[in-house]
Amino acid sequence: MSLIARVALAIAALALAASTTARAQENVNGDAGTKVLALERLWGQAAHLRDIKALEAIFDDDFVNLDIDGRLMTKAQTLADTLAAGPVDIVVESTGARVHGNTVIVTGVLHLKGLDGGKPYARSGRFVDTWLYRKGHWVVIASETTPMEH
Amino acid sequence: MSCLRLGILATGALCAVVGCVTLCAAAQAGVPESPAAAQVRALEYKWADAEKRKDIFALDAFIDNALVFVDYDGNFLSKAAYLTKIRVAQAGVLEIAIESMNVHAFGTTVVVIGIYHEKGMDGGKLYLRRRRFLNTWAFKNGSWVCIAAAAMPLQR
Repeated sequence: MSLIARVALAIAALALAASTTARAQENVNGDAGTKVLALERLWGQAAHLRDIKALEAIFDDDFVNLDIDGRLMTKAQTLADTLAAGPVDIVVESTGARVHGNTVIVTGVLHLKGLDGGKPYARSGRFVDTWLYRKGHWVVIASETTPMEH
Repeated sequence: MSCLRLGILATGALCAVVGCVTLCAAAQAGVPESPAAAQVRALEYKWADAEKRKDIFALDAFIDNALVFVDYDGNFLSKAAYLTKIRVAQAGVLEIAIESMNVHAFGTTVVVIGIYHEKGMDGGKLYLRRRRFLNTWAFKNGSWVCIAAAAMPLQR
């Protein structure tokens, strides 16, 4: 891992720890959408850096993930898949959050670029993530990404 | 046999099938399904039925006004756009049926993952489309409403 990646990983981990501590004392009905969108960004960073510890804190134990390839995965399978995946650039755009009490729905568009079997690929998908305020902090309980037709 | 009796028999048979499917799903899981999960499971069947019948009034009742809907082609639809699509664009749909469902209850939030298929006529030809879906429901003002729905083509 490069020095830049290590520094970014440390910053992401510190930010996650700080936000987790703060969240436990805050009102769930406050700026829940803003907090969850910040966690979405952390999720992207952690996935890019393959920071399994950070991802474990973001995913609920009962997390279900329907990925852009149509694979239905548990938390453990998603973490294993993240570790096994080749280098991938993830760009997330146009996210939005809708708050429903202790639940927040985040939608957005993501663009993936990477190598698969040595061949470059680029894919785009629209995602829907469901976050839940549980045991004092926000966790993602479900994620779905539908491939976008061009 | 009168049409009325046939209708009653058909309704009874449909209820029996739906009940059996619900019980089988719970039995497969090995544990009794929570009331929340059972209610949402029943609503998913109602949704499929209402969509096939283009029953906008029924759909409106269990879809939240702030629904986010990601169609199987990746397009984003609001509640109004989704209801318009159902009312206008699906003239050839013959059947919409849920093949399987897993219901995950988190208190007043429920996540459903499943597979459904749609049969219909398109340009004079019969088609069958199978899709995965992931829906999120919330308990609001005394009833369950869908707050997010997404689908994708099932990989063959």
